[in-house]
Amino acid sequence: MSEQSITVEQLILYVVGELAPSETAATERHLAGSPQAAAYVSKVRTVLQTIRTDNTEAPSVAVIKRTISAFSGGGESRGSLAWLEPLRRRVAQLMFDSRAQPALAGFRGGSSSYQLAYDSDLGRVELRVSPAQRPAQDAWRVRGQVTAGQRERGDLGSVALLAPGTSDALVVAKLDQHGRFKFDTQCGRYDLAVQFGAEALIAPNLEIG
Amino acid sequence: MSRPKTAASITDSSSTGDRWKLADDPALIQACLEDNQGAWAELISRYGRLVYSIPRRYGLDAPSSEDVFQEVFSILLAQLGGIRNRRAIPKWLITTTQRVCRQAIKRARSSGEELPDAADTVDPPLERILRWERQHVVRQALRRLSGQCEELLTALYLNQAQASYTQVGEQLRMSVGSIGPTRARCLKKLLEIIQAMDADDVL
Repeated sequence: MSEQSITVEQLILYVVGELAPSETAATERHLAGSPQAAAYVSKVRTVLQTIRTDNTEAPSVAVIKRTISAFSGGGESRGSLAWLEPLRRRVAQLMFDSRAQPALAGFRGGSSSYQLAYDSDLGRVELRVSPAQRPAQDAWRVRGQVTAGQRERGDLGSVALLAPGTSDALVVAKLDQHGRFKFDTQCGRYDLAVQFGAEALIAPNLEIG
Repeated sequence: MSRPKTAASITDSSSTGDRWKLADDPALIQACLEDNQGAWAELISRYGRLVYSIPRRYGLDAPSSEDVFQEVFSILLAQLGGIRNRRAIPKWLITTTQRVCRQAIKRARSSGEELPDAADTVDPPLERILRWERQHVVRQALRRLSGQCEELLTALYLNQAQASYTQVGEQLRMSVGSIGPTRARCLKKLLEIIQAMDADDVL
């Protein structure tokens, strides 16, 4: 084997130890003078080592299916929310809408952003709705914070944006440790559901956009 | 409420995401934002193993790891539109999964739940995290390789016990003499795929 004719396949055969001794010696001479070939050999070794030592675990088919079905899109609906169905629902009242507060000049952060607050005896949900920073038509970002009433914060679960009057979740978001959440959606009228333990606060007729 | 249908959501009737197997991450995320179910399924298939393996490495048992898995993908879905660097999704997922793991362990400890002895909130060293990324890249490249090459490299290397050529030949109905050259061709192709994935910097 001449050093000029060393191919990628031969470099691989060298790595896996399948060259004759004379070919191995020629390849090693080639590698000594070719940083490019040496780098390729190093990559082959790394790939093989990675495959051999891969101890990753696959999730069960069941959890994959649950994750796809619970959160996947489908145009009109992401499907009925399993966690919402058994919960007792408390309808919250709209207590504040910055669009209806012209006297509070300067409260609204931007020309098309607005703030809303819903109250119920379960707790309070404050929302800030503003155009989303992403290249999609009619995309709006909703940032919110949930404050639990007399309950422990541990009772707080997920937040879901629902098709009005249904349990069909269009967006599901998790609350962080401070009860905050955010998601993007398109303009329209929705219900917002917040899980509080065995109950759900429903903010009805939430107008986005 | 009606949502605008996009070309992607109209033409993709697949629920398995196979159509999206070769799509890069930015395209996949964009399709998810347009409510394409196949793209979302592919995103979960693509990153499911990476995400699920992290809580297992933090010492969480299978049910707790499944909870972490679901929570991470829930966060991903909620924040998908806000991810600025869509090519850095593996790093985003690793960081998010680590955070969810730490929270899960702390929550379980504070509520007096029993945890496996191995459960630990200490983050693994950077080198181990890079190895997770590398394992993910090579797994994905193998997946894209598909067919005889994927079967051969899996049979030769991925199974814990190293198989002999004779065993692999019987298993894959290949002549023993053809295994060596085919393996070289497949490894070459695998490296080309990793390069095309723009991921050879993790090697």
